[in-house]
Amino acid sequence: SLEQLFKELDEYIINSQFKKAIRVCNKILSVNGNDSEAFQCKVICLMQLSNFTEAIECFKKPEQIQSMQFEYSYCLYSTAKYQEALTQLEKQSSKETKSLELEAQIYYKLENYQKTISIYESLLSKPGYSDSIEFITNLCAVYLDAG
Amino acid sequence: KPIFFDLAFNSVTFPSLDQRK
Ligand SMILES: [K+]
Repeated sequence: SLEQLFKELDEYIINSQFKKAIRVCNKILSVNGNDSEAFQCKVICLMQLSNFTEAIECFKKPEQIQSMQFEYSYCLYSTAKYQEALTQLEKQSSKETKSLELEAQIYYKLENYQKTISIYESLLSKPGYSDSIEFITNLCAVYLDAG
Repeated sequence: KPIFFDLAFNSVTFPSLDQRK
């Protein structure tokens, strides 16, 4: 049953067995091509496997991109399609902090350090950032690179 | 080149499947 397939899928995800999880997603999607949870899980499994090109190829309809704008933008970033990733992020009406983090990383890759600094400085006032060692490390890195 | 962490990937998370099981 569909419930059984989702139980299986959940188990594989919990155990990081992403290739097996994708096979279950494909089974669900062969029954219902519009199943949003199966679609999202398949894309995220591919991302966990660093298979970003195949993840991008999953997106066939605008509403699929709409439902996973952050993840789609991340896949573009990971395949060095930096401008496309920025364009995609700009389409978001209100940006979640994760999208701002990604935007800052894209500007860092593009060596536009001032943009990265201004986004990071705006994140610094939000909860959880000033006490994150990784965030502070990145902030130091971009200050150093900016000279 | 200084260390620069991929912070954004931490936000790549699976949807809850609780309603589907
Ligand atoms: K993750």
